[in-house]
Amino acid sequence: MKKENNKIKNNDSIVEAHNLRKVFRIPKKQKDLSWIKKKLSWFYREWLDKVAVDSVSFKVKKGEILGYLGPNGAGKSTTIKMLTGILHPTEGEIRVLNNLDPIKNRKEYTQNIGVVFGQRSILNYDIPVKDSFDLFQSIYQIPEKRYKERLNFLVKLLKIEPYYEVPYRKLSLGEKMRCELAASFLHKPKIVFLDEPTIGLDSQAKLIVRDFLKDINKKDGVTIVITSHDMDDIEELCERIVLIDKGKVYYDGKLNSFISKYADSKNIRVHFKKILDKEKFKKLTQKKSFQKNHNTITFKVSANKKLGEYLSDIFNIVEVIDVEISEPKLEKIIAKVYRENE
Amino acid sequence: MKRYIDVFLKDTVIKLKEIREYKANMFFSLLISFTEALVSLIFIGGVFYSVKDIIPWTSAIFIFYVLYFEGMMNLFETFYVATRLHKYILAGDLNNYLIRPLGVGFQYMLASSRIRPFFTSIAFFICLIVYVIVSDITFSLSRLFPTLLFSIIAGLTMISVIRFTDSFSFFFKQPVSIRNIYSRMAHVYNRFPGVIFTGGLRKLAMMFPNVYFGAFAIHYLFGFSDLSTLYLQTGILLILLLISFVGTLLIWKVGMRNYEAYN
Amino acid sequence: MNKYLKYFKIGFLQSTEYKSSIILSFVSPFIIAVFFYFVWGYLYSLSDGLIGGFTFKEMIFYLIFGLLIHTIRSSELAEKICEEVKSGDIAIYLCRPVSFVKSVFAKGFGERIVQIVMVFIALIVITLVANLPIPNIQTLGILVIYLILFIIFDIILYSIIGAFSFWFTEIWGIRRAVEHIQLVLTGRILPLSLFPLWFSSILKFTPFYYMEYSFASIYLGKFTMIQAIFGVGMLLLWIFILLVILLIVYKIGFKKLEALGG
Repeated sequence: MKKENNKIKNNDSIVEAHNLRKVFRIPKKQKDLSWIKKKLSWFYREWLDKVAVDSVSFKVKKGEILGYLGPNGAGKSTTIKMLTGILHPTEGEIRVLNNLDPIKNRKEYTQNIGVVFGQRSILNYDIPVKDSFDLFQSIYQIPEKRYKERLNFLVKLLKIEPYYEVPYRKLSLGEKMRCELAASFLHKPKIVFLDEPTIGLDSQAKLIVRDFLKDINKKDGVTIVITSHDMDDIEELCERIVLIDKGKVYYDGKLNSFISKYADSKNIRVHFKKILDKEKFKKLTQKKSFQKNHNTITFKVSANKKLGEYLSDIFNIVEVIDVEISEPKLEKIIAKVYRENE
Repeated sequence: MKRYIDVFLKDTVIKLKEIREYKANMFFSLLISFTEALVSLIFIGGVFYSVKDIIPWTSAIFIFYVLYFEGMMNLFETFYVATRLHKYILAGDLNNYLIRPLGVGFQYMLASSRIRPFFTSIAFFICLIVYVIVSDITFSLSRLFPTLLFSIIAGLTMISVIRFTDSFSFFFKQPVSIRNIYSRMAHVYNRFPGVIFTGGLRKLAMMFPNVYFGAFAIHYLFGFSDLSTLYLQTGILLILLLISFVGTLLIWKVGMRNYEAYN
Repeated sequence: MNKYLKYFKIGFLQSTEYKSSIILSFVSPFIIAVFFYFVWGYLYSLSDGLIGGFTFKEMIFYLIFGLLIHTIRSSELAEKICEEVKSGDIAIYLCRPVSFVKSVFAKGFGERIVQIVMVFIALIVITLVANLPIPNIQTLGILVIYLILFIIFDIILYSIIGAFSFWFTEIWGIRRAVEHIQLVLTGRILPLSLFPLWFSSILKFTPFYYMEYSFASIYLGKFTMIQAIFGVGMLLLWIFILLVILLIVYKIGFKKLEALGG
């Protein structure tokens, strides 16, 4: 492996991924063989190279909340696993914190990170949550006084006082996730990786989690890398996103710019008092993209059309009271981007 | 390092709490262990009744043997009774270990240890002491200390060898594995005190540390073998210990490298 | 009926999923068998030729059979049920406890079918190799029935143990305790003929007498046909009793689950 001396030069990045590549060898699935032959295939198995991550490079700035997005199978989880030191990259380099390598400097690195997987718990299943926290205190060697203060702080912020003494397995999904979050922030890590943290949570739990992440990011200055399929999460929390598809980075930049760039239309709703030009109005509302509802018309305008011209036309057709302009939901934009990339 | 000691102590406290909460499991553990001891006694009684003079032990020594052996066995099982490495690998549980500032092997060891066998062991030793007091069995006290020391060395070797066979799960990932085969064979030597064998079977018995803290220890304690034999056997134990310890470290290193975090 | 066929197929495919597992599961008893051969050979060389009424060859056969039978056991069944109860998956059967039992059976059989065939092949091979007399067709027929009844009994037994998970969070303790007791009582570690007479007489009232010990004795020609058929009858009786217990236990268990609301 070519050893590039990619030191973290500027003080802003806390994680740097350079040309990451991960290839898995999986046994070939011979779908067209009868199932008996499949059983015998133990003697002549063929292997397939599956490229999970193709050449991903990006940086995470200190103190930011980064959204790492992509459709299922895009390589998100694989990238996060490489960044946290769980998987060895096939090629490429990762530099974290003070120029550390997640695998070579594992002990030092893990002392300063927190990880929460959406599907797998980091807390002990059978014992009360408090005991798991105590164990974490020993694992991360948190001094007693600091531990107590931190614990109180997190418990209050995440509202988990009532669940604290309960065995983990008895909690609901939302309660579990909040406990996991508390555990992963206990030792005041510099970076926290969250993999689908709000999956399966009800709306109230989601709000608590989002508020918590915003608060702790502000208070501790902790960098958060979050992957999520919930676009509300991303819109609420992330200023910057990295979009990955088919193992490659598709977009890396500000969320706002992404929306502006890829949103193909804007939604306009016009409230009017009365119709000024009946004929032109009839023509307008016959168009498919127009919807009329009492004194409101709703329609879409594609991003490349000049909004101003449209609106001045409308102003001549009806007596306008109010105009609402909104951008389409991030969810729809992203779904469209995934579809187009297929 | 202080970190490891702290974590070990906290973990022990948590496990003790678990015992207090799930008392039923402790009861069943004891029940199973005593049933096993009973099975051994029945077996010995049944077989050795028909085949006399195969072993110079009296029936009192047999009972002592069973109690002592179960006590020792459970004591050491504390450290490996719950090893199911293949499950951890398949379920991707090792991920959790990788993201913590502790050795993965150490965390796995903690996760596969249980406190219950420790208490079972104490129960058996209490029974043993009671039996010694109540019956008229005698042994030379000067032999007691070497026997105990010898047994502990054998126990440590046992733990190391079991971990070694368990680590092959990195290659096989099956429930039925090297570990199982090894344990099954060791079990046979539980039933037949290793001292009754000669030749090939005797040599094979040397591969199983449970024979050492079982038959060999008792044989020495009651004067049927002497110190020179003990030294020889300790030598073999230490070789086994070394090979298995180093082997385990190597396999884990290679295994973790290729660990592909199955989901 | 097709639904249960599907379960059967799932069970069969699952058991053959890990090819090395099948191979290993026969290598393991084979190694132990070789082991037994030498150990018992040594013991017999010091005896007068008969231990517990079995000659050396017969004893080896007896012990190997005990190992083979082990592969037919449905020991994971109890834990699987326990997991389903813990995770709440079992709720789909809440309204139909009978169909739950049926699906457990279908799946259990699917998993064991391969083993039955293997066991019989192994037995025949050992018989030929050891130069023991091969039983006649009627005896073999009875033995097939015995094996099938074993499996049924086994499935029911483990299902009942699994049902304890409605009340306990872990049932491995109960399962292992039952397995250990069975080890002694069915004669798997020692032929029941080596036990005192009063003990084996009591056992004749339990189903355990009619398992490993009876099967091996029939195979080796130590039981008459009448005794064999009587054994079948006892097994059927006990299967019936256990079945009733099973249904009752699950009805109560499901009611408890309903009350908790999952």
